[in-house]
Amino acid sequence: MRKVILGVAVSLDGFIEGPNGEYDWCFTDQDYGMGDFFKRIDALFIGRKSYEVMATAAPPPGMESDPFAHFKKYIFSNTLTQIGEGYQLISGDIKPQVEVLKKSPGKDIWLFGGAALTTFFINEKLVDELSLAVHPILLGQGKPLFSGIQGRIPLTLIDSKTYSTGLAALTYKMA
Amino acid sequence: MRKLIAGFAISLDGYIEGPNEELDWMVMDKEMDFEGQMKRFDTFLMGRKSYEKLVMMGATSFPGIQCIVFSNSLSNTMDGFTLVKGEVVSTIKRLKKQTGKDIALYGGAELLTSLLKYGLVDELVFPVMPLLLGQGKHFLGYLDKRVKLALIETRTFASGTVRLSYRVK
Repeated sequence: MRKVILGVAVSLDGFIEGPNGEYDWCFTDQDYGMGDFFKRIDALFIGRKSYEVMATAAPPPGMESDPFAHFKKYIFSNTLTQIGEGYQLISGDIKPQVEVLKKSPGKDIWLFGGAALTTFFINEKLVDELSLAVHPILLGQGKPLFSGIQGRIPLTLIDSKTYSTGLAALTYKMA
Repeated sequence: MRKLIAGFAISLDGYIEGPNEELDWMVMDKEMDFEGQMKRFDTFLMGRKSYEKLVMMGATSFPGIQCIVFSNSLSNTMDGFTLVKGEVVSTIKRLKKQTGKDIALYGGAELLTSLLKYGLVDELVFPVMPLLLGQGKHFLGYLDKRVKLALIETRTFASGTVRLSYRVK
C-alpha cells in the first residue's frame, strides 16, 4: 500500500513559517535527501491555500520551472469549483477517497500541506510517516506545524540523520 | 566562564507538559545516563512553578547543588534553595563569572524565554520523546528575535528518543 508522508522543514521550536510567512531560514545549500525522497513519491496532497499560492507564484529562485511537474497533484477543497491544468480536485468526504488512492497502485504520496490539511490528515490517522527537517534555529513566533491535534499520538523513530550544517532529519512512523 | 545549559525533555511537538501538567509520557532510557549528565553541574536555576512542583513531589535539596529559585511572589523557600526576587539577569551574569561547574536551567518555559532574550543561554539540550502530545505547555514563549543555533550532537536511544544538543550562536 502507498504511504502518505508528511515531509516538512521546521525550526527547533516547531514553526514552518516565520510571522510574515518567511522561510528564508530553510537551508537550500544542499539536497538534504530530497532527491531520494522525490524518487519514492509520485503524487502530492495539497490544501486549497497552498494550491492558491503555488498556482500564482513564480517558480522558486534557482528553479527554471515547476519542480513538481512530474507528480500527480491532488488539491483538497470544498470551495473551489474549477482547478488549473495538471491538478486534480478532491472535495466532499475526503477520507474514503484518500483510502482508495492509498490502495491504488503507485509510489508513495507527499502530504505537502498546509496547516489545515495536515491537521486533518493527522487526526484522521491518514499519515504513515513523518519526516521533519529540524533546522538549528528558534523562530520564536510564526505558523506552527502542529496545531489542533486531538489526543496523544505515539510515534516510532525510523531514522535520524544529521548534516554538517546542523540540520537534523528525523523520520517517524505514525503508529 | 561557566556555561548556562537549558535541558528540557519535550514531545516532538515541543511540549514540556500535557494540558493537565502530565509528565507520564516521559520515558527515561538507562543509556541516557541522567546522573552522569548531572555531574557537569553544581547550580540549578528554576522558576517559581518548577520549584512548587518539586515541593509538591516531596523533593528535598539536591546534595552538592546550589538551587536558585526566581520568584517575586514567594516569601521564602525550603532549606537548600535560595530565593532571588527580581534581579534575574544580574544574578545570572554574576553566577556565570564565578568559578565552578556549569549551571543548569532546571525549568521552565518562561525563564528559558527571558534568558534567551538576554543572550544568557549557552547550550540547549532537548531529549525529544517519540510522540505528539497535541496540547500542553510549549517549551518556549514568544521571542521578538530569531535565535540561531549550532548543532553539537545528536544521540538516539532505544525508546526512540532523540537527544538534540545545540550551542546558542
